[in-house]
Amino acid sequence: MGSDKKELIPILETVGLTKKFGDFTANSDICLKLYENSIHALCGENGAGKSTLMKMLYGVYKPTSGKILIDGKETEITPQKAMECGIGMVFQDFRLIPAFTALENIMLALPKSETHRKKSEIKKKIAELSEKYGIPVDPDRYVWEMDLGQRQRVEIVKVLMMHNTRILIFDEPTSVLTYNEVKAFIEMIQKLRENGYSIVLITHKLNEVMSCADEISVLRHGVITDNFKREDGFDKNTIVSRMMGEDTAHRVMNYREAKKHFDYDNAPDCLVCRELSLIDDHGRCIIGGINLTVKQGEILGVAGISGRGQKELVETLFGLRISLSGTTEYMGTNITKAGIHRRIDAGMALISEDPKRDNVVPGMSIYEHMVLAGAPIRTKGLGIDWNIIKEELNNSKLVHTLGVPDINRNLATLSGGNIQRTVLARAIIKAPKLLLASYPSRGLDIGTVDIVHKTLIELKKHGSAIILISEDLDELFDMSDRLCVIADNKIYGDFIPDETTPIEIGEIMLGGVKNDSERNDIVKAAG
Amino acid sequence: MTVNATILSKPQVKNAGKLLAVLAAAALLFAAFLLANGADPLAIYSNMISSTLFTPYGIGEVLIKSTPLILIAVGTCISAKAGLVNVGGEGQFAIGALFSTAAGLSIGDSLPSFMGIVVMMLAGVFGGAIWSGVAGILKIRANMNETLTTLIMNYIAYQIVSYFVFNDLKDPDSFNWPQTAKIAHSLRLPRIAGKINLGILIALAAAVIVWLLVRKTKWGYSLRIVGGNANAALHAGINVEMVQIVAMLLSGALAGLAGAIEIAGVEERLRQTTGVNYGYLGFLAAWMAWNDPAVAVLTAAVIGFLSVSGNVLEISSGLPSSAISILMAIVLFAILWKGKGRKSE
Repeated sequence: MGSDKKELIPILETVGLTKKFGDFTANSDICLKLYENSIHALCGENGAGKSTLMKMLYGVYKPTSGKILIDGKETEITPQKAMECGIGMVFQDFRLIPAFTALENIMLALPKSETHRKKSEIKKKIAELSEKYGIPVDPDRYVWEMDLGQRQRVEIVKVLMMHNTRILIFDEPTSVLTYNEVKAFIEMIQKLRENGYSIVLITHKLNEVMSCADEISVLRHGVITDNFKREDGFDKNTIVSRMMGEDTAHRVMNYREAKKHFDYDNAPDCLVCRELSLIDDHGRCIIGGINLTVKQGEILGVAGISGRGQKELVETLFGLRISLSGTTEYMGTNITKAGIHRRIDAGMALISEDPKRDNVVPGMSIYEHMVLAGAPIRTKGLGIDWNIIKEELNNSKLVHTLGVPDINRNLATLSGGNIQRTVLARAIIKAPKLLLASYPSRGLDIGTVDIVHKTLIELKKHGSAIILISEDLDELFDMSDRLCVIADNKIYGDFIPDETTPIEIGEIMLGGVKNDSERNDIVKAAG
Repeated sequence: MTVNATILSKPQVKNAGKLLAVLAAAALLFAAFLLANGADPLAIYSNMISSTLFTPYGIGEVLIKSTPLILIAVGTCISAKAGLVNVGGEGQFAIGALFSTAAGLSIGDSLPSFMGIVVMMLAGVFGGAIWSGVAGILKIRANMNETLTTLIMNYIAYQIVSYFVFNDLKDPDSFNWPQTAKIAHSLRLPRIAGKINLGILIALAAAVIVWLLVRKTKWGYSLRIVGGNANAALHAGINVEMVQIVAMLLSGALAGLAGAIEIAGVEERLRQTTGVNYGYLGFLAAWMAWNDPAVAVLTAAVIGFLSVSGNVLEISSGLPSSAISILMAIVLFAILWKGKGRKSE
């Protein structure tokens, strides 16, 4: 189908599409062509304007100028109109009602003309779609019971149920999926393409895109800078350098080098947990019998589907939560019952999985946040000397390296990426002896992730221990000296990254290990 | 006022400017109400202003009325900064007044004037702090909503005061009126001019100290973090419960101090009706100021002025003085309107 596509009229085309918010231009002169039966990927860093573009295609935003053509005809898009034209959108944050079942959610989204249909009929259709595209959905399950991958599948089925859907737009679809789910997802969109759907894929994960896209457009600072076509071949390094701009291009990190420096056997212990059991917010034991040792200068990676006790683990180690049983030793002292304040003073730092919830104080500036268990508070008499604090922050190399915005800005009003940078800078600025890092690179673009990794490795070289919690197996394999996996209310491991594979870790994440003997085998195999 | 002018930083000036616009709008609405009742709003307004702000007597009345309101409002600001809604100014004031009256009556004139007054003030502070501290502990230990507990405790306080003025503290020479005996002459707060007593200066000093405490000190910083996002405070190793308890205690202490000043400076004896509604008006003032202690001094003064001018309204228009409550209600709604969308600022 490759070359004769060019003669076809694009199913969706944008001409000179521009969107301004006040003085800020989010998208400028975007020209895109989406053809039938193709996967068109849109790549770009955070804040490159991907989401703005998609929202214009779906009619959520009205373009400042430019036009959208559907089947070659100019169309003014509203969400209603988009649906009529067969555009379906799978949002990053799903639009599902947790208290409803999958079926109820799907029925809610059906057009009026179809609501008369019987439940059994709809269920049948759902089953057909599930079967056809390999997206299992249990229609009678409540959404709140589902993990993020399952919710996404409901969302996709919901869009496919509209009989006229021709175009599917996915906004960062794989960010909520586990390693193995990503593979299934890519197979699914390939099947969709075979069945006549056109797909727009927004993402910043290049590996996934390169395996399935027909065309890749790079968006940078609101402008489409490049178009790459499959027939011309994709070159990862070229695309990355176009996404990040020339200046920051192509800084491949030598992770292996950083690990070589670390002498596991002779490193002193930083943190030792013995038979530690954690309780969740409902008072249930979420992970039991944890025996964990983290050495000084070690990065211990913790893999697992999110929400399986990661939060409880770091919060218990940080003193925010009381453990059910077991002991924790830190730098040779028993700190099982120590308060948060004592742990912070002893050099612990926490990067929360949700900085907006756990760290951001509305109305306060970045510099006021930076001294919260981060940079030292300088005092003058009875008061706080903010001028010295500001000066120190402005002179801090770390603050600049991580790209923390102007420290006078109100943190709560900034984007997730900028909040993440601030929170990271704050945790690292005091050179913690133990850093509990939950998803430190979440929401950051490739360029910044690279800087974050370098900063963490720098910290490790200075002898800090790091517990790195992540869903991104690539990150975990690159960064960690050792890995463990949370699944099944247990912690499995530890594993040496070089002696295992992402597939194996992914399987444990999904199913845990069925019985104890098998578990022991794996542990032994991992050394 | 000069004190305020120097410590008002830019956003607060903007805030105060908006506040004035809102007050003007409210005055306009109330004028319509007056017109509808056949009164001449212009004459009444000019009368209200000239007889309160342009006569020594009027100014004195406004300052005396504003004193407890300033203290309660500023106290409310402290707890609000910790994220707690303390509506208990009423009860904390009453218990403060009760404690200081009891202290004053038992001291008699056995102590030198200065020391006696200090003891009375401390007794008031202590009483108010106990009352708010109970609500604080219920909040932290039993997870009870402080808005409800402080409100309920207002009624308990009123009944306790009633009990004492009808029983143990009743003045035997009062011809059975439910009131205590007068405190000794030496225990009265010194006057600074006319009827105006030292209380207003104590209130202003308290406001300045609170402003400095909240804005400038490390504790104030912790306080604002606890109020802004208690989770963030917890993550930073701040003892959230301790900060909240201390904020509640200070808040109640200031209301209790207001009670003591009312006894030692104005009423000289405790009645059931001493300071009724001051707690709610003070809370209103703090709210109008968006819990900024510097602005709260202004709003408390405005409410003080409105309450005093209610009497003028009665004399010059024939409307009951309680009609001024309508004006206050309009002001409150106007402020709420102004606050609309404040979160997105």
